[in-house]
Amino acid sequence: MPSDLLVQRSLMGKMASAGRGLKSAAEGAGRAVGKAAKAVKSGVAGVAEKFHRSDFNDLNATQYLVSSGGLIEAIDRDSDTGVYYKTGSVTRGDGDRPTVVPYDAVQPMPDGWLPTVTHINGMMVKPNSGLGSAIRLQQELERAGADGALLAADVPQVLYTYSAHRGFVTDLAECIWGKLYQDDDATDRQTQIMLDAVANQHRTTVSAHSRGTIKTDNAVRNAHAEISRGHFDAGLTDPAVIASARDAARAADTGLGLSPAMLEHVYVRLFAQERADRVATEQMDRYVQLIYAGNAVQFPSAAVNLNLVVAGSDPVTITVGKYFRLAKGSKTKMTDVEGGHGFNSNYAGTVADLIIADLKAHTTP
Amino acid sequence: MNDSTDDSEFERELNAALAAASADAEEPYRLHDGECEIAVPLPAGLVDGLDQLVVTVSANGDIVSFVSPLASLTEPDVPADAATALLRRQFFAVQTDGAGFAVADRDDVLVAQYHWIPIDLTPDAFATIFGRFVSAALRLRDEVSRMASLGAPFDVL
Repeated sequence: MPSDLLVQRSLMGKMASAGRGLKSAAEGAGRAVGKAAKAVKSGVAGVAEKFHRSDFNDLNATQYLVSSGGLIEAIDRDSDTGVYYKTGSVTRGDGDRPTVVPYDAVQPMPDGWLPTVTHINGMMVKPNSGLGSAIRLQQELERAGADGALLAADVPQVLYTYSAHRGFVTDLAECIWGKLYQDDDATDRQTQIMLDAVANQHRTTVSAHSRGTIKTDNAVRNAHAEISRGHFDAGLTDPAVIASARDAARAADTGLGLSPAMLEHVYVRLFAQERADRVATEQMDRYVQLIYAGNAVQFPSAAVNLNLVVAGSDPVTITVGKYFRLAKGSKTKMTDVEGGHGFNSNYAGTVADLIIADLKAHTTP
Repeated sequence: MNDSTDDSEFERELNAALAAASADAEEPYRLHDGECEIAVPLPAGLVDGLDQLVVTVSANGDIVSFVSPLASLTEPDVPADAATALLRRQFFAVQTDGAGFAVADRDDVLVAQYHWIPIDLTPDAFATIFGRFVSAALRLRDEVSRMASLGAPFDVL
């Protein structure tokens, strides 16, 4: 069991990427080593690291499991095995940062465990504030679960992913690191959550607030593309796809333009892609529930069902606007609430209601 | 400019690839003034409201460019929110199948584009890239259609 590595990843801020399963542990470790080496290389880099820490970027993409009673534990996913491990106990204290006490040995989650509810914060949220939102969401789940006659034991924990705010100065620092040109680890975490849900046929709610919706929208697109690609490769050699492409090429052949062989080559790709995209959409709709609270995405993906929770006085949602058009989309549902942009006071209760309703809908025979 | 006697080796290779993709051996596709327009008929029902995709293939030095119109702009410029969304999309290769968005120079048209720097410009390589570009352009068209339905100033072609 790679306990030391997991502890190091979670608690020392050395994990370069949680990855979408595409990035190897070796690559991650290599990047961490590279980062450590750079840290002592120059004064400029040292300054950059200070800016990182002032913006909590060292905690970016760290994950926490929030359970009943406000219990918080640091948690991490082994990218090689897909198994989640609890790595330490967490207390919020009075400052901006949580205090993490590592477990003597990391504790694997039960066989096959995957998160049922996840949450990611918006921009300019300090770690302890984000954890507070996750706690509030878990409390609201208990409230909504009780209202819905759910057994206390059936109320899900919340897997919370911290997304660090990155201001201009930090971005400049990240240019020095060259990290600006990589995917955000928080986006990768969101992507992996969705890929795990589909691969293991485990329905998971992905709740996002504010700017977290932008990362989640990217994750939706990336996960959909990756799932689709898996089906696409099979489609390329599927006799039915090839036969359809051949028939369509014959029908389109006029003796001018592209040759039948070229058309068939193009059509095989198009038919395989269309089918792969459709299957990916079906699978994501089946196993992923998306809830965007205080949505900051102007043009969200059309690939997956989306629940928007919109507060009437939320300046972010008002700025993004166009909800009347979104509501017309068959794959987008909208729930109106009162209030402003803050997650705890305006959105947590409604998001919890949607999650519990979804849980009941998918567990009732 | 592109009479056969003046063609560069690169353009001759590209013309050979275009000819290999052509149905009519007597009058195959070839570059005229550095570019060649190819209409790809689309199977009925595959893409709503679209029965063909037009791809312009052009030679620019040692680069082969594939361009396909997606939408005309209904405002003089792409608004910041729409431009930001397009730029976010093409940060991720998987979201655009490796192609990208651009605004055409001579018309206010939003296009899908891919600039290919071939190491070896063979008919097979060209056919592969061409097929991938057609698929990518349709994916980008989906995105643009979605954005237009949400208020982006695009008149989808």
